[in-house]
Amino acid sequence: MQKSIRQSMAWLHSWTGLLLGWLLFVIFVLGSISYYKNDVTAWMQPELHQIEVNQEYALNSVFKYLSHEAPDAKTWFINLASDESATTRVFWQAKDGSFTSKLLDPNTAKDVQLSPTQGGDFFYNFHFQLFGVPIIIGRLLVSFAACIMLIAMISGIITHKKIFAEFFTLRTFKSQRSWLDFHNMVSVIALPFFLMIAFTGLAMFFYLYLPTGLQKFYPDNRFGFFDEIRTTQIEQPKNLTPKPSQMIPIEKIQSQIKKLWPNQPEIDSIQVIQPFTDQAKIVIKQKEDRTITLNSDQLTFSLTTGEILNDLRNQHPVAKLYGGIYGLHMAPFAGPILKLAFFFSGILGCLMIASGLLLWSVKRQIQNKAQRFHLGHYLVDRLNVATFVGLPTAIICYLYTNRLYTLSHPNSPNQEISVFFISWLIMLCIACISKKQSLWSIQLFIFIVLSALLPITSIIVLLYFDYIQSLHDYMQYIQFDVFIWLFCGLSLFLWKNISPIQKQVQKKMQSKYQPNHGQKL
Amino acid sequence: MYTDSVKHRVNIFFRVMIACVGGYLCSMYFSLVVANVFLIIMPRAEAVFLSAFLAIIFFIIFFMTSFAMYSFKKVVIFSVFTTVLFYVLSYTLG
Repeated sequence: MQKSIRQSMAWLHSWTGLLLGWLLFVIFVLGSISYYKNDVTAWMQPELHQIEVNQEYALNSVFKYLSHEAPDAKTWFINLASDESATTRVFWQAKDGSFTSKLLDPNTAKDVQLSPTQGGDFFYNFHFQLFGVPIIIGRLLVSFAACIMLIAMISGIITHKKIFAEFFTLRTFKSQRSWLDFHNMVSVIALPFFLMIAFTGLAMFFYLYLPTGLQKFYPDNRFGFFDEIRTTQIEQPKNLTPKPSQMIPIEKIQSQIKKLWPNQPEIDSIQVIQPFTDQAKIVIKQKEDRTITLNSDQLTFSLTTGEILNDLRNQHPVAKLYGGIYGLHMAPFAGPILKLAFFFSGILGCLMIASGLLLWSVKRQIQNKAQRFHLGHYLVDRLNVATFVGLPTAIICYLYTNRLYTLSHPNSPNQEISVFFISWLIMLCIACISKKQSLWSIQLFIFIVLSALLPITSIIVLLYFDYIQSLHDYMQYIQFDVFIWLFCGLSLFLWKNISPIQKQVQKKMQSKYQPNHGQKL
Repeated sequence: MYTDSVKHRVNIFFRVMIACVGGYLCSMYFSLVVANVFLIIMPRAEAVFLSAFLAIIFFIIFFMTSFAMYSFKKVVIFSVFTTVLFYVLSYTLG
């Protein structure tokens, strides 16, 4: 190890950053998109834009559906259709403990027929449990990556003793210096966000990698922990078994809700515990959540008498801290502007990781005195470009597949995910066979062309399938298309300016190692 | 020169092992000890969560300390001592 702590931390920062940088980049890109996962799903399932949502009506119809389909279930969970998500998702737990899930039309309460796509959920699930590996392994790998990221960030802070002074230094298009300055700048801009997001992401999965506490204190049922941390436990007599009983009509509950919440806020979720028994109760949760501890307003009623019951949420400070790690990470409290800030902070995280990895590469390129082929450097260069440009290109191809295949083949198996991985692999292959000088320009060019044409392709397909008939209809898609063009524009800027940086590196290397320039060999 | 390079790599390998495996074991026992202590003042679920929360921070400190110390001998002593200490404490506290 190095003699000074700062040098040791610099070493640790470089190597931990390199080791999991690519995985962290993927997690950050897909995690940032996940803030808009419902919007991505709505873009990929144009049928959703044609559903009118009336929550009162949706609640009535879903109650009728569940009373008919699952009257003897233990619990019903209902994610009620809203402006954000136009379908009602229900799942219920049968007496044998098995779960059934259905996606319903909020108006008819019939199984809804949508395009066979995972939409934004694919990005959301990928960012915390990866794909193609067992869920537990994926989550453990992501947790490990989050832990390494925390270590890399803290060691990075220790390394840069003048981190805030360096924040105001940006020497553009000057080889290694430019990457270092850019890396410092983007790291400092959203540093609290990066620390928060990595730590909360890590803490969420503590039950997977630190299970000893749960095994010791919950030997019979580890999941009892989750009930206890969320709700206050009331001692109930053990022989009190629920007896069959009729429930009061949901309209009576709705009229009570109107009295207690006169502003008629949007409802997020409903849970019915022990339906059609004398212990049946309903918990209704508001959509708007101004807390960071997932503690939005809720009401609990008895479904046999209609009386309002005590709030059973656990209000212990540690229980709020537990809710806080989820709340801060997923930001359900964020309004449009704050959500945008979270999204762009995530994008800054991607830029931080990318610039760090590029800095590593450029530094070693300059240090490679013999100018000989180095397999490690070759791989890092190729993986860098295949991740930083290849992944966004794969995302664009995923979206293209939706427009060009899924919408016209509603009954065929979903090919979007296959196309996502195949296109990513193609980008890696292109990177492997490209010359170093043209590596970035080729990849960026592919991304720019594809992303520039995507909104146009989308409009043509939507017009063809009659999903849009006027400018007003298109307004529901415009935000998404503007985002695509924004990133296309950023890539165009990078594409135009990537060659000055490469030339600077080349010049520096030549001046350093050519004796004519008066430099030592 | 070659021996130095091999020595350096072996040193790094063992530091990584100590930081990851030793750090994990130590954090695990640390969380058990802290959970036992917290159980005196707070309910079970809260004690388990808060101890795990602190154990994550503990792991990060442990990991970074393993690389911050120049002497490899000190790293070994530090990791063995803390792991044994928390193991004994967790065993004693039940």
